[in-house]
Order: sequence, then C-alpha cells, then structure tokens
Amino acid sequence: MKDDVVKRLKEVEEKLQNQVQIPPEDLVFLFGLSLIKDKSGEN
Amino acid sequence: MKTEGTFGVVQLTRLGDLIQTHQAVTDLKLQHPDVKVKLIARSDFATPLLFLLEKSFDEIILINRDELLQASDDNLGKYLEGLNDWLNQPQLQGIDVLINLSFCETSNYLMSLIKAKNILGTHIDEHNQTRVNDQWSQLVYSMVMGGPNCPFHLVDISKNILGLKHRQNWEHAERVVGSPETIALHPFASQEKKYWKPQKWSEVLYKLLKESEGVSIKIFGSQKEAEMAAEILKNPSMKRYQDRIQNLVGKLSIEEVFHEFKSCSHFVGHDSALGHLAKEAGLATLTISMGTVRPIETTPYGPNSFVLSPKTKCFPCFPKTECSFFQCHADLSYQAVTEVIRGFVTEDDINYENLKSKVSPFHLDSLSIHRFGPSNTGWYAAQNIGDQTATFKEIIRDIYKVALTYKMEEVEEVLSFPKIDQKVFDKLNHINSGIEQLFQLCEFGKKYSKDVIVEISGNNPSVEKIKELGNKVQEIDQLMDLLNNAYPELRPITDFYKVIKSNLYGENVVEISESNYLVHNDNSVLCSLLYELINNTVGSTEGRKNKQEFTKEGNA
Repeated sequence: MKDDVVKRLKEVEEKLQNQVQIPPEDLVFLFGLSLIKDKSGEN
Repeated sequence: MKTEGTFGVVQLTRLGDLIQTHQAVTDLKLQHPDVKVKLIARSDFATPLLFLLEKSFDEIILINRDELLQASDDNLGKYLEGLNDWLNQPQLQGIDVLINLSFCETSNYLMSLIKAKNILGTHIDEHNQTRVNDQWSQLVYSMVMGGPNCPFHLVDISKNILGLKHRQNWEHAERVVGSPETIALHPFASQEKKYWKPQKWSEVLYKLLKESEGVSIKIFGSQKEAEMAAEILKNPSMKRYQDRIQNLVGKLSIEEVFHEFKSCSHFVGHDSALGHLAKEAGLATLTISMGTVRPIETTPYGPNSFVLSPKTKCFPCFPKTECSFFQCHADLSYQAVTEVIRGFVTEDDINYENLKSKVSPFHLDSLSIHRFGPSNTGWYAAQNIGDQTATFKEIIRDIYKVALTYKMEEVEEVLSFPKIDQKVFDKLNHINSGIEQLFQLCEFGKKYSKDVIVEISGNNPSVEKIKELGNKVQEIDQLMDLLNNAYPELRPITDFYKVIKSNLYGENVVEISESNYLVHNDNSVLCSLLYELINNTVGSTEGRKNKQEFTKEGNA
C-alpha cells in the first residue's frame, strides 16, 4: 500500500501545483492519509 | 425562540477534548432541546466515554481507523472504498449544520466530505487550503493555535461556535462529596512536560499524609501509568501510610473511574482527561499545571475549580519547545503544593493568609493560585487568590478579553484594575505605541481599499492604478508582520486579522475590496478599544502611585 500511497500523493500534489481543483475522490484520499498519520491519541 | 434542526459535531481528538465537547453540547441541549445533535468521533477515544456522550448526543457515529486498515488487506483501493462506504452511511446524511470542534488536519478534510447546509469551523477547500469563515473559529485558528494568549476557555469558545449566548448552566451542577477528605489523585499526564517525576509526588504524599491524619488517597490512572504509580509508592517513606492509599492505577475502565470518583471528595492532578472526568463526576478539582498547559483554556470546566501554576517566564511553552531542565516543575515546590492541597481538601478552600503563615515566601512567590468561576458576562474566568501582583501575561490577556468580548458580542466585561509593578507599567506603555502604529496601518488599509472601489466605479478605471493600490494593501500586511517583531504581544490580534483576511468574502475585486475595508475598519475599532483599556489601566496605576500605593516591586 505504501508505494500506491506515494504514487497517488504525487499525482494530487501535481494537480495542486498546477492550481487544478482537486476532486472529492482526492479529498477522500487525503482524509484517509491524514487518518493514518494522525497520532494525536497514541502517546 | 424554538430552534430545530440537526447539528453534526466533528470531534476527532482525545478523551479530554471529547469530555469538553460533551459539556458544551450539554448546554446546547439544555437551551435548545429540539435540536438533534450527532457526534462524529474516533472510536478509540469515544468508545470508553459512551456512557457520558450518550447523555448529550442523540447519535454517535464512530470511525475506526484500525478496522478500516485491517479490512483493506494493505490495498489502497480497498481502504478508500471502506472510507467511501463509511462516508456514505445514512447517519451522515441530512445534517443542517456541520461543526468542527477538533481543529486538526484529519477533521478539516472530513468537514469537506460530509454534506451539510452550513459549515462552521475549519475545513479544506478544493485547492487544499484551510478555510474558516465564522468569527469564533477564526479566533481559535489564530489565537489558540498561535500561542498562549487566548483569554477564553475552550468550552466557552465551543459554546459560542455552537451559537449559545448563555454560559452559566454549569452553575447548577451537583457537587459530590463521597467520603470526606478523600483525594482522587491522578499524578500523570500525556506529556513529560506536564507532570512531576514520581519522586516529587512521593515527597508531597508523605508530607500530606504525615501532617493530615484524616486524609486518604485513591490513585487513578491507565495501565501505561501503572509503573510510575508503583514508583511513587515504593518510596520507603510511603510504607507507613500504605493503609491510607489505594492504588487503582490500571485496574479500572474509564466508566468505572467515573463511578469511583463519586466515592471521593476532591480531585488533585495534572492537566489530563481525568480532571475533566472528575468535574463531570461533581468533584472539586485542583489542577497542577506545568509545561504546555494553558489553564485559561483547559481547566476542568465547572464550579469549585482551582489551578496551581508556576510563574516561570517561559510557562506555558509549546509542545515542540525543547527543554531538559523543566524550570516550571522546580518552581512549584513540594512544600507549597502540599500546603495548598491540604487547605483544598481539609478546609474545602484555599486561603492565602493561611498559606502565608505556613509556607516560606521563597516558595510561595514562584507560584500562582487561581480560583475559576463565571465573570459578569458568564465567561469561565480565573481569579487570582492572594495579594500577588498580576503578571504582564495575565494583564494583557484580560485586556484582550474585555476588548474581544465587546467587539464580538457587544457586551461589557467588568474587571477591576490590576495591581501592577513598574516593569509591567513600562511594558504597557510600550505596547500602546505599537497599537498606535497598528491603528495607523488599519486606517491606511481602509483608505487603499476605498480607493480601489472608487477607481473601479469611475468612468474610466485604470488597471494600473488598481494594481498599484492592491500592492499598497499587500504592503500593509507586510508592515503588520514587521510590527509583530517589535511588539510580539500584539501577535494575537494581528494573527486574528490575518486569518479573517485570508477568508475574505467576495466574488470580484469590488466585493473583496469592500470586505477588506470592513476588516481594516474592524481592526481599527479594536485598536481604539485596546488603546483606551491600556491607557485606563496605566492611568489607574499612576493615580495609585501618586497616592503612594504603588506595589512593593514598583517602589523597588
């Protein structure tokens, strides 16, 4: 999954750099990624 | 007026935040019983608190990250499919107002994925930018996230975001005294900066139990804290008092802790979720705040709340601030803390005169004691116990509170003039020069924004002229940044306006210029208020000075 995440993130970042509006499916991806990274309650 | 509809409250952060959200929503339901409120939370935090959350929320929708990951078989497509299924569930439909009370990145994304008629709080737009449109959330995004100068408690802020005007319902909360002089102790917290080492707690408990025969203690905590609890109790000095200490650390669920709290009379601990839980259980609380803790924002919300904090210059710090010495831990001496706890538990109050007779000024002068309660406008506010001179941080925070309350609610917060020393007197005068400059910048901002509108409405608008004026407006923003360097105390205000400016309303240059004009006008008014408040504070001190009533430090 890690490789797929890196690839997808690169695609989203390219869209953002080109100032293209990101579609809802990309927002779902960013939400999912943030949820994985979120360590707020683990210490 | 009857208010109906469905609110969706997003709270993805930890136990303490969930309890405080529960407290704000409890008041919402008291004042507007016809509103339906759904909570959207992480299952790992919300599940242990369901017994409490189910009292205030009509529906609780949980997201379980670990389950989603497990079901994905390490496949991104499947993981996203699981997320979409979760987002499309019927419980997340039909929300009238979606409110973000967690202000974290994950919740910001979630806010943009749940359909709602209205959105309050931070959310992400289609360009992956954080947006925040309502005033109280803008205040959180700038003042709370930006530094320790926010003058309001987080539960009060949440209530304002939820649209509540009355903030005193907690006054009817029931006070619980299970067994008299029985302390529910939680001597731990989530970060090392926020709690004392076990050795120091051993010293406090030994002195307290030795000198107060009627006092007994129940220690609470999670499994992770069991080792530290054992270390506190293994100290040889504690052996004699084992029969008056019950170690419950790691043995009870959160719900069991809540019920066990009701067998105690007072809670003593560092800043943690258990303090909020103790307040919900009806106990009087004494919080020993250190490190990153901001008592004004996070003290357990309710009656009979006290806070002990150090006067250390760097307190409170940021979580990322590196520190190996923990001066703020040392500034709270075990002698002083023991006496404060003894008064709190055996006299059900903290009497400064008693403390002065028992504790050396050397120990007492390095700490502050505050009693929390409602101000005249219902804000949960700190009242300094004792005859201590107010610190500069306290004074400037109070001044911000009065000015912001008036600006945002058109209500006058009444506070008495503080006792100040010469150093604070000079600092306040210095800040007023900064406010004068900030006011001038705002007036220029108004002028240039107005000039843009005038130019566009003319018969022959010049694009070059409009660009030139636009650049001047930008220059003002840069100059505000420079002003921050010279007057860092003004940062809460300039940051607040920066957030408002980056969320300006408008579809075209005229609308944006109009919004820009209004923001600068608002900021000008706030500057005038601050200027007057500081002037009056300084003036009242000058009056006292003339009457030879200046404080000890001021005369030195």
